[in-house]
Amino acid sequence: MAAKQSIRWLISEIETLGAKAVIDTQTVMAIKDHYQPQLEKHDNFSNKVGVAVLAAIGALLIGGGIILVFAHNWQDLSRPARALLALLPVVVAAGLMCFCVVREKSRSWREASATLMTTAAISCFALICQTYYLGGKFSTFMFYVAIMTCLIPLILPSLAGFILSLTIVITWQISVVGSHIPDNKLADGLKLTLLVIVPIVYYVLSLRKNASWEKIFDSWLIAIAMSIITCTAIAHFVNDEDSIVLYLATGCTISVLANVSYYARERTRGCSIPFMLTGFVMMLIPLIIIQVGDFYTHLDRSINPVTILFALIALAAAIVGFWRAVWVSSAIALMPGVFLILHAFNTFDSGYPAIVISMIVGLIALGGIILAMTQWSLAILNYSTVLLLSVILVRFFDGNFSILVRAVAFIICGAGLLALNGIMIRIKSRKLTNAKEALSC
Amino acid sequence: MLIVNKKILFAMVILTLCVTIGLPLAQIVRYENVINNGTSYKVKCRAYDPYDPFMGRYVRLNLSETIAEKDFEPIKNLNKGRYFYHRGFVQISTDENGFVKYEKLIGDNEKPISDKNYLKCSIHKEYQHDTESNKGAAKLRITVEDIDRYYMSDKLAKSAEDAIREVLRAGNENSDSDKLVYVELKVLHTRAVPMQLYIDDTKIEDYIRKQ
Repeated sequence: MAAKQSIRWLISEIETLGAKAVIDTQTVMAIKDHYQPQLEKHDNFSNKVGVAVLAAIGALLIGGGIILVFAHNWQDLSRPARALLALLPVVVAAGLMCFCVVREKSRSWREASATLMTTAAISCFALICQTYYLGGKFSTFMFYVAIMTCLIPLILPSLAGFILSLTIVITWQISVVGSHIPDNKLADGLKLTLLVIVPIVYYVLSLRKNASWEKIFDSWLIAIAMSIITCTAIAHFVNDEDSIVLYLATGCTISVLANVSYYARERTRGCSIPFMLTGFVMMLIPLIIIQVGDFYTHLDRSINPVTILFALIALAAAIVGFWRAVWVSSAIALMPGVFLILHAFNTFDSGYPAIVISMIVGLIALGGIILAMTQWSLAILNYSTVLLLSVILVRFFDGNFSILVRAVAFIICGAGLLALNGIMIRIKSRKLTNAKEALSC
Repeated sequence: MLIVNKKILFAMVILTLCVTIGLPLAQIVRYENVINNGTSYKVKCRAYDPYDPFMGRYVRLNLSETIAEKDFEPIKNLNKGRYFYHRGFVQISTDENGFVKYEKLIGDNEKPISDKNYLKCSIHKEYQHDTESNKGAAKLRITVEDIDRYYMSDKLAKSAEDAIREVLRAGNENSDSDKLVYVELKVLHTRAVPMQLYIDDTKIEDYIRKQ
């Protein structure tokens, strides 16, 4: 679909050309008839998004206003009255939710209803805690709120409900890790799995139904949220330095699978990019850390079974990746395995592991750059260049160079990256022009 | 709608309604039951005035007491050593003035007896040098958990903190001072609800107004 401004400009130009009799009236009408529905579609879409956003904000304000009205006279009310009043927002919001489901109301109604239901659940639980002076941990409060709100996005498909639900689960997960109290980790893991399933189901179902922009937006949301949840869960369940390898393995797995999905399925192209990029970032940070020599000085000398499991998962992803010709990230997915081999040979006291890993990453990056040049792929080029830069960054900082030399080196690296991209774009456009000319001939 | 099947959608709506209304309702019923059928205990406390972004201003209660380790049976399966931190329950009764008396400590891996009242607590062993004179003088600090807040209006909370601090300071400086700061709890088995904060047997709200 053409851009809104372009269609407006075209219609105005055609009207001017028609008035000057450059083209005849029939042609003007035919072109206008062709483009008018697209313009209306654009306008309807903008209106819908605007109304949906306003409805969500309105619901938030109404919910906040109701809480303030209660809060004003709160201390003068008896305890049972306070308890019943605490329930009232949830009952009203539940009524509105049922109304929206039964009548199959529009998007704006759903956004408003989901926002109201979520804020009502939070305020209801907060008011009950206040009425009975319930103390305790913030994570327990957030868990109850998460349980109360987790199904809302599935019943009332809405972006606001999805964002709020993910935010609540993340807040709960972070507060569990932050509480530093040795709770039952298995129970926490089961709770997390239950709470994470709903947003994933919502996301998978929404891929079939939603507009393309919404699919991409949902993909970014779920990719970032799941990365945060995975990182906090790993930090919670594995409390030693080995966890860095688990981040690396998770990042590699996400990156490889997103790449496979990108090349395999045309339909999910836009949706794979958020996973590719978040996976790449998740993979890159631990990859830099395990190239630093100091990392190995405090490392636990025993191999953690969870690390072996994660390395095997990354290996499985690498096999799938190689099979689907995803070379660079699949090669990086072998790194958790390399780390384990170095661990098994007890090389951590020698200082060699960091150098070995840097050498392998450097080779993969150089291979990637050559591959990018042969396949004319900008994505692979940038992917590999960033990997190479990570090696340069880590190895370069180990040396005793002055700040000025480092600054110059960084400028050269940056200029090299830009130049490589520039050359690639130029060659690609020249190839495209040649292909077009060949076709026209 | 994402879920096309009407039966599944209906079941999910019912489930959501049950959870969103049932969960807070269950909390209300549970704590009303404690208030109506529980036993009253007075627990001495200290307090200060913090703020919660979700629930507003409250007086933060600190219900902790130091006891001599030798007066209590050792807790089963407790991690041994000079220092420890453990979570568990303390069995409670009342003295002649209605104040709480700690009877027995149990770890959270043990099941509390159903007809007795307990407070959930954390148990810290206080540091003691292993010298001849210190033998048998090891102390445990019992801190009641989950009862740490008493909500008040914005205007009263700060005054409450000042009044409590004044009373506690007077108590420290003059051992004859008989003013006490305590909270009345209703306890039923292992659940407890703070009912009222008192200074010198006067409700804190009335005490502040009188001042």
